[in-house]
Amino acid sequence: MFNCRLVISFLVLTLVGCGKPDVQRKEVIVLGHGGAGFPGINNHYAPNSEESIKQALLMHDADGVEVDIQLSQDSQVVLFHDGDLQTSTNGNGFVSAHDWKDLNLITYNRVGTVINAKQHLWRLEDLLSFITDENLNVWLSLNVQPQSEVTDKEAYNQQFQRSLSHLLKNYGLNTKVVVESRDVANLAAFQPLTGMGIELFYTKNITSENIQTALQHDFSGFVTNYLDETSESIDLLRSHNLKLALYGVKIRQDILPALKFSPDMVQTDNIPLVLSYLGE
Amino acid sequence: MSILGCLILNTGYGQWSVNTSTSLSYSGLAQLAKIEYVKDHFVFGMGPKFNMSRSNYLWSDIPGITVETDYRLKADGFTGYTFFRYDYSGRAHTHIHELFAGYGAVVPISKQMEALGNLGVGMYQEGARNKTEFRLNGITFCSTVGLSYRF
Repeated sequence: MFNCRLVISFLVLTLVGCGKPDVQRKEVIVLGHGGAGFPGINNHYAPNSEESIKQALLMHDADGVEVDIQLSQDSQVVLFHDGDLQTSTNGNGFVSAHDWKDLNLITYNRVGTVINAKQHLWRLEDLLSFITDENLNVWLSLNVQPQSEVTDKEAYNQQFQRSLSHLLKNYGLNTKVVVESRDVANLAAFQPLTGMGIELFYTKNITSENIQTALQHDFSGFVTNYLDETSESIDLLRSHNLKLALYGVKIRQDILPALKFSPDMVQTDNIPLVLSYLGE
Repeated sequence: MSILGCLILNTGYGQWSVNTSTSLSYSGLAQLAKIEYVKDHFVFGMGPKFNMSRSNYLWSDIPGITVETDYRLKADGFTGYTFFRYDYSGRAHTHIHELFAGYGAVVPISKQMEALGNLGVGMYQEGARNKTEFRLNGITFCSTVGLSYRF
């Protein structure tokens, strides 16, 4: 009786997750969230760090990465997620209050099971240089983080747009780049980049009102948490020929419900698992 | 470890056992299934390692391998033990090597069954073979719980 139970338990465990998505591998772009994903049992490097991004692109074979961008005092585009530095690094204050030469010295706090990790902040320029050097054919989703401490938003947005435009022109990456933001004014400031083939995605849940806002500003699509959406909201989005990028795909139970919406892009914290579901 | 294995085999007959355990380490959450040879204070085991947190099915990843040697403070009953463990896991063109040393405890459940748990520290190396020679190295830890059945 005991052996029988053991065999049944093993079979149940191994058959968990046997569902197959309708979406094919080539139909969805799989992006790592902040690199290889935010820290967890599989991810041991700080989001937006060099290690996490290289792990996603070189080892996990992601189609690209979603990274968070902020502008430093000397107009360098820095990859960093949090509102202030002290929450996840040994630095203090805001990214916008420091020059790159100071930010370059800051290290992330330890995450995951890696004991001796000393990961530094990375710039978008470093990432673009790496992609060019390695001749990688990948997607970049640049998530513009709200820098609430900035007082002159208009001047800041214009400078951010100029810095980004300059970088993308320098590295010849005028395709396969998405800029995303939850702030309409901020995202609209990047409108000149659409001439370079860059798409603008509005980070909001899908409602008629938000779709109208997106259409008014000529945004290409939405970035939204799959848990906030229904078949009706996705149909509404598709009826306006807008694209769909989904985030919130963190664990096994997230994958099939997210893929059910047939997204154009998925931002995930577990790249190997999503690729495994897609048959790769 | 093979020298140790020969020493064990040359000093008389031991017992065989099977072990299944769940391990959390740098490579993620994995299920280990080992065949073990037990002789006095020594246990030598090896078997496949299946990653549970990164693959859809247990068999959809290339299975890894785990090799472990234990030294038990007492040959039977409730006791502590030290261990050395080497794990290899691969997926597509990437590979992860992990080497751990640590300490654990054995709790007898019945005459043939025992529960084990351990904590270890060690090193890892993750690398990509077919693209750039990029490697990630570091110091990490592992935590394992499991069951052994002695024949």
